[in-house]
Amino acid sequence: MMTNPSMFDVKDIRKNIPIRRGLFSRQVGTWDILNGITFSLNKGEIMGCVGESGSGKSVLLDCLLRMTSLSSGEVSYSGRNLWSMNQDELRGFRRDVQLIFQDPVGSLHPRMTIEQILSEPLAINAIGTPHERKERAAELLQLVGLDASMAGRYPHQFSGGQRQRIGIARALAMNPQVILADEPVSALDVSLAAQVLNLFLDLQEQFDLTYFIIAHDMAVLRQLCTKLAVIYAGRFVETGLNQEIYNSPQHPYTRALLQSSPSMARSLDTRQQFEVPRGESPDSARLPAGCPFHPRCDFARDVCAVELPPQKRISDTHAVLCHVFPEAG
Amino acid sequence: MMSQLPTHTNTSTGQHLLEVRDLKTYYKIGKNREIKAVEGLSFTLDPGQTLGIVGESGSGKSTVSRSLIRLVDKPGYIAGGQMLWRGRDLLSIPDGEMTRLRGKEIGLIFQDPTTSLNPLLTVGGQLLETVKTHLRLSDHEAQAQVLETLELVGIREGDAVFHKYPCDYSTGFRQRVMIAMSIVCRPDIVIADEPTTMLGVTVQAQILAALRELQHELGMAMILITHDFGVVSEISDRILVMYAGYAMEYAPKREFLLEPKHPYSVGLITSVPIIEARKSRRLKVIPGFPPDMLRLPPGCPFAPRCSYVQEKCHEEMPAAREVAPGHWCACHFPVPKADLDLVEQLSFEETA
Repeated sequence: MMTNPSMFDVKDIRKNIPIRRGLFSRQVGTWDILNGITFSLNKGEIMGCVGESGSGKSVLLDCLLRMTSLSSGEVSYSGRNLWSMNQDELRGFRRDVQLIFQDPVGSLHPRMTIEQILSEPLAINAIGTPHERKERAAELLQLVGLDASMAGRYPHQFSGGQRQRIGIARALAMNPQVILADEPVSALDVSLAAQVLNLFLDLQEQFDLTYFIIAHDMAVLRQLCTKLAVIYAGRFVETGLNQEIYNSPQHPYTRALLQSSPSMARSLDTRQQFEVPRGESPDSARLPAGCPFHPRCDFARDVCAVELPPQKRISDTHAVLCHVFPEAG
Repeated sequence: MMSQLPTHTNTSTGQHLLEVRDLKTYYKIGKNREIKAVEGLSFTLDPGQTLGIVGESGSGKSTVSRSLIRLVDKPGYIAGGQMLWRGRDLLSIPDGEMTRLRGKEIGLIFQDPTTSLNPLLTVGGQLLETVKTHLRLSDHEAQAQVLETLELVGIREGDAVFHKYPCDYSTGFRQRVMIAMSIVCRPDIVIADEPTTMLGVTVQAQILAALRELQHELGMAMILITHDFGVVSEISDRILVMYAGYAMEYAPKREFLLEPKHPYSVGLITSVPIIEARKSRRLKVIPGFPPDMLRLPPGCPFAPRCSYVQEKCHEEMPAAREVAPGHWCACHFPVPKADLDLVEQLSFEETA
């Protein structure tokens, strides 16, 4: 895995938005949304990012897409900084990196046929003749398990699961290298979500894709990812390979997420308790001093309220931001 | 043709808190077409019990909750069946009395706490309004009841709640307010329709724990309607699975999860990503898509997606049969136990 070329390199990115009030727009504070995130995404990896609402995961996705500015730090794609790309490079980046949205209804134009939706990216980039684009649309539909004869229909004629497949087909139209997905199955029913998750894995094998997927559901990411980052208050509090995080979670927040995820298996096991973490995610305008998780943490010590924890490495791939864990000795 | 899920008689009185018999709720579409959103649903509920109704969108599960409080939106109507509330049919109760019942004896929790609360009323004020509508209490007693209820759901702010508005609270707190609202008159049953779908994982856990504790403390019965198998298995005693308006399976939770009999239930359980899984893997999925409710196939509506399908399934909707004590399944060919590796899949035994 280490030998694979890196697709995305993210170095210590921060996003702080000033809060301005009053007549002279005096700055009264800042929303600290991303507070120093560093990671790299290598070719062929499926990286998950799990966090609750307000943790900054969607803003992180915007940063990877160059859809918002950074306060500091750097995002590079294939070794090129996103903010110093020229027009051609940027066009290439927009081709290579595609996004799949959470909401399969709102992200498809209601008055375009599926064929138009799928061939539009090709037309914009002046790829192929109209006839070739039509054929490509049919091919894409088959790729995601829909019938090519449905190409003339409109989005409302499809069910939620089918629409999400259309969203995936559209993302694939440009033969992308990397797919970013924002909660790709949270709006889908159980049986359809499972189909879409399998489709993600099939397509990855077929086209050697790289994924970055944000979600709030730890079980979905368990099924899908090779590595995982747990985000809390704009920081990756724990990163590691999937088996590292699920088999030996270190950060108290990671443990809280795992223990509070409802589970069929645990519900049958009378010895295991469904544990309930205290409190709620902090407001990004009023982050607590020290470790942002300390007010909710059962293991907090004095130092946690004062000092930001250092990053501790457990293995080459597994790191945690915590004063207490992993315990020494 | 209909799937008639039957009733278990209470050993002592023979009367249940709620007994639904062959409930049918249809929606009129155009002149002579109908969507049969709920087609022959039966179940019983006793005090302190939780029934989980699971199904995918369009399965009719939310229509069940609307039917139980007799608030089915037009052009929907209850086409048949009985809903016996302490032995009295809710369908024969006059409208005025039904209004009094709702909120007092039957509490409701909706999915979206943001739009279900009045933004112009203080949190305490909304609860007070509910109490005063339903209970004959003095101002002082009513306020005490409101504060006590908020404390039950974990909001311990004292009189401040009479000055704070819903927008002053986070979504998780608003959902607690919703729950407080539904139990402020100490109902005998609470119907919760996707109560935690909008919430983050840790807040969801808090809300589920609060519900379970309340139930324990107040002895309420609960109907939990959700699409989330994790949630339903964490807090239900019995599980009812709906598909295209039909009740496909109805069983105690443990039997349901370990020995599901309906091919649809089996497919759903194996489709759920499992957090305890040893490694990532492909899920066993149900092929195809849910049916169009206006063009239901003849016979069993699940037949086109079913991997156990036989000729008979396309011809005749199977009636529900009791396959084990208290375990009902509407299938011509229930899945034999040998076909399941669920125990292994859930890796439940292995953790022992």
